Amino acid sequence: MNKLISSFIVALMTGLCFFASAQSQQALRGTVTDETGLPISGATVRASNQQTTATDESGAFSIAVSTGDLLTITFMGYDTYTHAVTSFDPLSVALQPGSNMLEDVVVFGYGTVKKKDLTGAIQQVGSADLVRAQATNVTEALNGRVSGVLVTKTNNRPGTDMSIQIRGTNSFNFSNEPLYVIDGIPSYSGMRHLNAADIETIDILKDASSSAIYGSRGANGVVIITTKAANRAPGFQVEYSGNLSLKTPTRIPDMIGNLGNGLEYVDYKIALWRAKYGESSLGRTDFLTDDEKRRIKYGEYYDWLREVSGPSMSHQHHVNANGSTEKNSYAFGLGFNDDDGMVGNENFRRYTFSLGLEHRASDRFKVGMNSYLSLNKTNHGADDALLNAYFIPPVASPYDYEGNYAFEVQPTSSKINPFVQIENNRKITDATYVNMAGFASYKLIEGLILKSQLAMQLDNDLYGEWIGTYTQGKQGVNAPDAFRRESKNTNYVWDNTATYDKWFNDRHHLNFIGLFSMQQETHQGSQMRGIGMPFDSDWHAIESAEEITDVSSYYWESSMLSYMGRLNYSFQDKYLVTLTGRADGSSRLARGNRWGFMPSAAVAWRLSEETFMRGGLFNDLKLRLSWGKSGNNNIDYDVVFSRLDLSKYPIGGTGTNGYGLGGSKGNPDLRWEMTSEWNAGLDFAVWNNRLSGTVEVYDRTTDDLIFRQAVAGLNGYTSILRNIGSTGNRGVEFGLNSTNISRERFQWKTNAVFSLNRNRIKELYGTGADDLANRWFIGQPIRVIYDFESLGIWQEEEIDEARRYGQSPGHIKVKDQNDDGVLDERDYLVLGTPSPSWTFGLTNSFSYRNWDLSVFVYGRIGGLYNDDFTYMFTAWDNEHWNKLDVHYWTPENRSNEYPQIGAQSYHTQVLAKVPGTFVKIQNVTLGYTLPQHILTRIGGRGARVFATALNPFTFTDYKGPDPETIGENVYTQLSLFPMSFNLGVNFTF
Amino acid sequence: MSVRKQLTRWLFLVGIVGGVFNGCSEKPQQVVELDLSCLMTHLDSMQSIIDTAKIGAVDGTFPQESADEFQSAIDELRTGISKAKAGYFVLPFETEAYCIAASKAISTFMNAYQTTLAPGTPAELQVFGIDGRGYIDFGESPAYGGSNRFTVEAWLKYDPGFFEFAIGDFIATFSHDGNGIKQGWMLNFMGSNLRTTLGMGPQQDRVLEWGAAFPTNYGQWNHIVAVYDESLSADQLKMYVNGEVFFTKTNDIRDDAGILQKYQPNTRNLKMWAFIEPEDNNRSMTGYIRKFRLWDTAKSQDDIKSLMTSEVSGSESNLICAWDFTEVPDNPEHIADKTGKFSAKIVGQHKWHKLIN
Repeated sequence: MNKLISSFIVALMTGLCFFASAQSQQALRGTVTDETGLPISGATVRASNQQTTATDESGAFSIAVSTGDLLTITFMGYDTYTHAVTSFDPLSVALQPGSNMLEDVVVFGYGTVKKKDLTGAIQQVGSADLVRAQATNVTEALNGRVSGVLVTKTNNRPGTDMSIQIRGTNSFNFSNEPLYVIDGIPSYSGMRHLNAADIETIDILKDASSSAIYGSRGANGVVIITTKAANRAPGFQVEYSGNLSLKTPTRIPDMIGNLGNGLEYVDYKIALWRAKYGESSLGRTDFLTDDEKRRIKYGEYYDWLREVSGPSMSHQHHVNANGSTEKNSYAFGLGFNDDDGMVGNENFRRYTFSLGLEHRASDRFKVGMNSYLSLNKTNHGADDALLNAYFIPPVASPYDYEGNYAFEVQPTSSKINPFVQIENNRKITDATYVNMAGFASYKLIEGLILKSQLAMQLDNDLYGEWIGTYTQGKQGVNAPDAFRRESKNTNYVWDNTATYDKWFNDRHHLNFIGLFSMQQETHQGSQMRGIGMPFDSDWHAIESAEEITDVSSYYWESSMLSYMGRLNYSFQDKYLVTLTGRADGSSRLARGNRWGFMPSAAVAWRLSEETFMRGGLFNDLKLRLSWGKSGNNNIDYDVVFSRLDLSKYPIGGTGTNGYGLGGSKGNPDLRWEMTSEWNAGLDFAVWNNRLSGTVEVYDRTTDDLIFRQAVAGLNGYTSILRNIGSTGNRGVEFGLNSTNISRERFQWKTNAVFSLNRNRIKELYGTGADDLANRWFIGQPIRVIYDFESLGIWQEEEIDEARRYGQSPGHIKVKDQNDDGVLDERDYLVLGTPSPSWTFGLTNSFSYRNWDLSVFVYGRIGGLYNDDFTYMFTAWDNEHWNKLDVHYWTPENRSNEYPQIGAQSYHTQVLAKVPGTFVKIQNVTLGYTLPQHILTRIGGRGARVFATALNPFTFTDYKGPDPETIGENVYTQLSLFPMSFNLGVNFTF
Repeated sequence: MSVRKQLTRWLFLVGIVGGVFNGCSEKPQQVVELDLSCLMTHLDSMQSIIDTAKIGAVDGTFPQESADEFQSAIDELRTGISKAKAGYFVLPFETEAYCIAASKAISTFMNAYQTTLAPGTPAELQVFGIDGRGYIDFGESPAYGGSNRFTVEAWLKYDPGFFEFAIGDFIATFSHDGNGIKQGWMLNFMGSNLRTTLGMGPQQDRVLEWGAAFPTNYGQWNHIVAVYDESLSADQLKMYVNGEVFFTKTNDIRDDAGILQKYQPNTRNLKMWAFIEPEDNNRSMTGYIRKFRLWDTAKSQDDIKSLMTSEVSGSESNLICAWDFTEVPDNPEHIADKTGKFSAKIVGQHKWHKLIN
């Protein structure tokens, strides 16, 4: 009876509780987007009451919850969002790219792997980071976001070239650029033709065990670019992203007398002429012309740098339509980018078209294709225009008496009017890039997939230059020149892979991939120059020139055959092993040396999966150790041959072709430059993944470096290529992600990367001797600054000591290292290397309700550079040209940095040796994600608007515009540093 | 400029920066109050000099042409004063330039005072090279160009302000045709440096040029020597002043292919002059010369110290030419060298200063 009563009471209470619970639960609706405002489909929404659902293709969800329940929303690659239910108002959630990336998939060549199963040093940059960087050239987005990667800009003009170094310099004579693989196709033109909005991920394979999978091309690291292909969410959606950018020059160098302070320039010129030519020179008619004196009288000064430059507008737009059905997936992208420069006609314009298709004929068989077309037009602007604007002083005017642009603005100077130069010098590159790949894959048995992909890459470019009569080069006298250069490069790759992936007993996971690959590339081009063009026809009528010169053409091809196998094995998800072997045969080397085998091995131990670590501090803890060997195939195609060079001999009054042995002897015994590398890594995550990171330590050695060794005129040769040198790189890299504050409405997260690399020459010619002529010293970095050590400026109280060295107060003081009383090359020493000692990147992201703010700081610390800009505009004392307004020595105002104006000091080259340290606040972005109720009204699925300031602050001692382009060629690459204000929107229908 | 650029510029100027980017302004400059006292003082002095100077063609007078030139300088100074009073000048340097020109005119006129010394009188020769007024022409010879070894040796003294143009040439047989050919050698001054310049090649536009701060013992003789020796692996170029090493310089001049260049003797213009460069006459200086010797060998420091205190007869081996300017010559148009092979002439303004024991 008691039991019956008890049962009744329990049943009654349970029923009451259920009733009460049912009474308080309601449907909570919401929308989940990514940080750019695009809806996330498939995100898991879980309530503490065990209810679970997923977002649909518009990012929407509905879940039954009660007040007080805790809601968690998770999606791969994004931080988990938690929300305590206090009301049933619709939620609008913007997930942030996550610090808990363990489940992320990383592309590691011919396959993918979850990050938690990774054994090598691979870092991934996702589309969100790439888009957020808002860089026209996506290469730039890697700076400070990937440890161990150093991006070097040629200049700051639109469409500029950039190069990447991963973990330092290996090779002396050949390219140190990594291998770029775009959708499985090795690319020889980098990434600049890609629109960031088209890229899904960029994976950087840094250590040799990872890059060994690309064998003879992997020694400098590998950059794998995966574009947005036909694998998106079900349904159909259209995404638009665009921004409008207002660009203005910042950090314009401070030239003497700029900003209307022309009298500063007059004082400088008086000091210069007095020192250089004596007091009486001030009375010469060429000291200041009557026009210049008139301008001084009326304060009519021209700030040439600000006159010749100005703000510019840029905009980019990208539309992507994608969708999927049971059998088919598709994606189509269109992009447009128009980037105006700040000087003259500089401009970069790019159209991109992408198409991805996939058809799943059955559960076993599918076919698909990816194609990418990019049309690029780069107007490089005019040579000399900016350079002349630096040189021409503020007392000169660009106008003649009739208000037109004058050709000569200073009758006594050779520098012509930059505005006229801009009108008469054109340099344009038209380039086309095509990437196409088609594949078929078949699942032979469970776990075994056979795939064959045929890919083609094509890049063409046409460079043309017009140098009119009224240019610096032609001096208003000589007839115009036209120059034309064309090139065409093709690359065909046929990859055949067999992938076997299988779990055994839920403990053993085996992944094996075998590859057979064939590749052929062709390169051809031609060029010509027409001197004395009769009319302005750009470079399209060179046959009308008085003389045609510089005619040349070339063709070469190269092919490669490869076999590769890679085995990944994990036991209990704790013990991981990766073994790779690749054999490449290249036509660039002679028979007998063509084939090379490049093995690698890596092990990892996930300590956090051990029972003794469970429940502790670490959510993840993994130790990695790897070793690998890879080659550098970036050698010239003809290194094994001795060339016959063409010469013209005047016979009978006409030029006759003759052929003679070139100066360099080919060497059929050459082998690839081979790099082997040890890498130790540690991945960790603590405090419920709120702090996670990676530490890498590596030691890389490159042997068999190909050197051009001088020989004593043997058989007419002066040099021969040999495998003799060796270099090394050692370094440390850190990557940290932290969630500093995580509240319901406010989040603050930090991402930091740090890189340190030390480069050194281990051996040169096998003799242990340095190569002084090339400035190569064993134990020192490959590139060094080798010169006098600057001690400042000789002061007046040092006059006697200065005299001992033939110097005077106000002259540059350098150290007599051997104390022999003579300053000469024997006093040179290695002062530094033009490479940063370490670099860092720091991103802080804040979000409050629908608002988000991110601040990206990037810095390079250390490094000594030889900077022509600083040298030219501090050391030169031309009587009519301007220079930088820095602290020059005077007897009254003693500087210890820069010599006296007009001092004619020796050893001025030390002025060019400048440190490259800088810290930039490079990107500040404020965004707002539209709430769902507004989106519903306007028929959208997701929308975000943002405003960005690029390069708002730079901290550096560098006197030029941008410390990142320090050492740029002042004659061909000079540019100003842009600060941009962008307004953008991401919208999904 | 495109419409878009103009619009952008307008937007930027109005909306963001406003007046920061004023490249040019037309507001009148605040004029500096000019001090004309220097001009007036010089005018008074010059007028007094010309009023009291005896003009003639004999000793104790000033030549008529010098007087005419001096009068032109006075007129020019008057013009300057008028301009200054009319507010034509803006900055002090413009009045100072007239004062400096006036000082120079006074100095030049006073140097023209005629005092003829008898041939054979021990004297010091001053040559007024500034403004191309005077120089020594040693004639033309391929031997002057030197070879892969040579030594230039001379005694020189000068006063402050002894050169005005960028390069003050002392002695040279140097050719630079403006199209890249640079041959021969030149002892010269630039800034605060005494230098030696050598034309190098065969690639054009190459010079080996080095120097050090010149002695500032104004009014005192210095023994100046330049030595070139191509056979050495380092320190091919040396200069000595008063027997001490002034500088050494290793030939580091290479062509675009990195090939070390060599000294190129003058084959184009065979002239050798002192105080004005034979081709670029703007490169000039005013100074005194006592002895000059050219050797086709590389003298050692010991040799040089010995030569400082010894005479040459003209029969020494390796001696190309040698002149002593220690007494007034019979004929300034024909001054034979000690080897008997060459003849020099003094052209233009110069002055023999009698030695006072």
